Amino acid sequence: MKLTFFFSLLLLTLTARADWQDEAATGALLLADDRGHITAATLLDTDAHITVSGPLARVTLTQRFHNPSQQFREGRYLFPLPENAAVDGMVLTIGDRRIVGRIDRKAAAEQTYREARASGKKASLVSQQRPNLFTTAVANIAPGETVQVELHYQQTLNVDGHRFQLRLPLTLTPRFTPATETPHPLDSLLRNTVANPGGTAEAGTASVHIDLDAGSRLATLGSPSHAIHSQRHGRRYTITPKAGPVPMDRDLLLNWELEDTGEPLATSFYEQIDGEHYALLMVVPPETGQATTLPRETLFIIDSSGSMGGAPMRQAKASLQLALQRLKPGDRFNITDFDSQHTLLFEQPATVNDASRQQAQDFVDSLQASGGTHMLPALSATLSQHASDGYLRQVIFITDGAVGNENGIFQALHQQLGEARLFTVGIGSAPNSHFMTRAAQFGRGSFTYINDQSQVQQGMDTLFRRLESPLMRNLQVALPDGIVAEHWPQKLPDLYAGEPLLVAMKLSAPTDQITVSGYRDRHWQQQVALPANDNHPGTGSLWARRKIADLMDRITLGTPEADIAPQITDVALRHQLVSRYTSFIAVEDTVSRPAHEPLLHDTVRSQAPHGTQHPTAWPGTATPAPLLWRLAGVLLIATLLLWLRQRRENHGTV
Amino acid sequence: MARYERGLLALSLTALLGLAGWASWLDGKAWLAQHLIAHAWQTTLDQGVPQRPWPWADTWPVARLTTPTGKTLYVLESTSGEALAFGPGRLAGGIGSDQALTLAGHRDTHFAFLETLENGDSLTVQRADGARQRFQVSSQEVVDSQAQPLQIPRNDRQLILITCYPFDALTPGGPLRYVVIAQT
Repeated sequence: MKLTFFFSLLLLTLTARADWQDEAATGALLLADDRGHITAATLLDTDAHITVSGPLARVTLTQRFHNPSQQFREGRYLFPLPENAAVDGMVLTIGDRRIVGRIDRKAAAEQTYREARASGKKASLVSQQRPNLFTTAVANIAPGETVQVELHYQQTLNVDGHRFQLRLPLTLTPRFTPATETPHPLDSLLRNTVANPGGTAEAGTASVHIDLDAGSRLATLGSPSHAIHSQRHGRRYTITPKAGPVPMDRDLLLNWELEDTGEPLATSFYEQIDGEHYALLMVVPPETGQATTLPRETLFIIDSSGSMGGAPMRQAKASLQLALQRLKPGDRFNITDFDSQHTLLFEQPATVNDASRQQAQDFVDSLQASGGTHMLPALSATLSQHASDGYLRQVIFITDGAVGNENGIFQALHQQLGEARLFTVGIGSAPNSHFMTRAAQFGRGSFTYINDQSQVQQGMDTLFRRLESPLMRNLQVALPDGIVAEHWPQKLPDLYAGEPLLVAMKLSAPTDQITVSGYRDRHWQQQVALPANDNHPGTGSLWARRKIADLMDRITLGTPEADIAPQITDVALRHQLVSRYTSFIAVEDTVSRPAHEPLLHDTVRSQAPHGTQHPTAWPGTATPAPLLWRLAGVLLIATLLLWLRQRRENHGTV
Repeated sequence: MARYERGLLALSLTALLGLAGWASWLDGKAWLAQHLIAHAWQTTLDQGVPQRPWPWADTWPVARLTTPTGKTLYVLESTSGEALAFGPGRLAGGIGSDQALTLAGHRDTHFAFLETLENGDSLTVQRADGARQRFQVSSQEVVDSQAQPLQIPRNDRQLILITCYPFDALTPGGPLRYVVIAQT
């Protein structure tokens, strides 16, 4: 229909967006004078202290800046965080003033901010320009004064199989003259500085110290960016750049690789916080050795309801076509298509061959988006198909997740999913990611997000690499009698090639007997010794983040918020994490302030990003109606003219 | 000759009726749907469960937005093209979320009023659990959707309204968006 065509046009134009994540740079302090003219403060030196525990890094970064001008200045400190990093502490020292940032209850944070403002004190609210940018404001920096920023953040590292990478942002941000018409010069500068990395290295140097415990012996350790010096003590490595302090002209990268023995590698990390014991268990899949993969039965469910209309439907169909191409001859598959009704392509899962594949491709081609989203019957029909013995059943659910009865769906999954694994693929501008992530967690699978035609190939590639390489199933963690653990995820997923499995635990007592077991082509088991006389910062915090995520889920699923909120607040405060009830605030220490100083309080509040999130796609928000009315107007005039002309002619001939 | 012209007249008249019909369908649908949705909203408030406005609908009302002039709009769950034809849609935020409540609507129907909003104007949102929140407009901005990603702040005391820009553009699908931000 023409209508659908117009809506498709609308949706097509939404998805272009700039890539914000790749820009790395170090912190910068920007200064504004009374007229809003901006300069960057001189960066004197940088000191970074990093502790790595397996996949986690804790960073303490200290930077000193100098106000080179002859005037008092208002400043803003910016720090582009690496991917998957969150700030949890900050100390700003300006002369004899100290601004201390920490995680606090939201209500308390807002109260502090309001009080400061009400009493006429200068307070700056920090707004979030992008998820990975930490910013905080500093008022009243004296001429020639030195500002020291101490920033604490933690980061989950990029992992690819046995290879890990740490990136420390050490590139200077350039100076920039802001456009004059923007209302707040600092804001526009902020935007532009971050959008234009590069620039000149004119400032001091950085000294870096890295303390690395990867969990086992390393096969390789090196830096593509700097010459490094390393020293080993047991599992631990101490790393420093060979040159001592390094110039700030590039980011520091550190790569390491665990030894691959052809067997899964299980290792653990330990942290004690206030008498509580936290452990992180990491199981790294082998990369070498023969990969024995079980025969698979792949069941696709595709949503073709009205809400999928236009671009989402095209993306879903393209995804499914790609998936069909990757099926292996001899495996089995079926497709369920649903809107208000559901249709199964084959009565029972069919064997993959040229004929069945062709039939499936034609079936997918013919799909049209219309009708409602009646997910439950479709899911039941798919799951109740007779399971073929010896096949690993994988269910792939492609939808925008526009469901009303999430609880009903979870119940159905609970009753009917059994041993099958569930993988969800989210399509469109605003898929219900929460629902789909949870469903995939429950189904021991994963969630893939596709919001652009260009992401179809990559997203499905990643998904299929996983699907095709299950290395170990039925993973279990056993502890000695008398020791109990609260662990996340509660239901352990399978072990896939290239993806280490992380289990965050809070133990009732430390133990050196953690047993991990699973099923490869035979039973597999390994004892893991907990390094309880060592401390691995970040371990407890990872557990806390997983716990908060689970508590938030319970609110979504209907537990009264009033019951859950105190629990979240408690965990978040104890582990210094940003949550719905806690936020990052910076408050000036007033103790050392001289009484005659004109600007007494400076209260800064900022909400530190917590990991990364997908930027949302812009929706299409216009109809062709104005155009149609205008065209109709033109046609009305044309019709009238034609009619008049004809009337005149008719009169003439009579 | 006359036959040719009569044919042309008939053709032009048919096209006129067709276009006017289609445009009225778009506008009429937008208007009529809000009335049907009003009924579903009342049921949602009474019974506390999401209610589809008509049995085959792929969306349901999640909030009620009152404009400064007292006009009420029912916000739907979804910002798909199909849902936006019937009412403004929820993109993010709301019950159970710590993000700003973010709504999108068509510039030529439901969200045409955004053009007249000024700083300080007040907007009221009633959520599906009956709670009401009052927001005051604090900024208006034109954004290039191709240059700037849409980042929704984690601030549940903020309301963000999005529509297409410019308001009087003829064709849909342009890259500009008009973004109104309001705070409690």
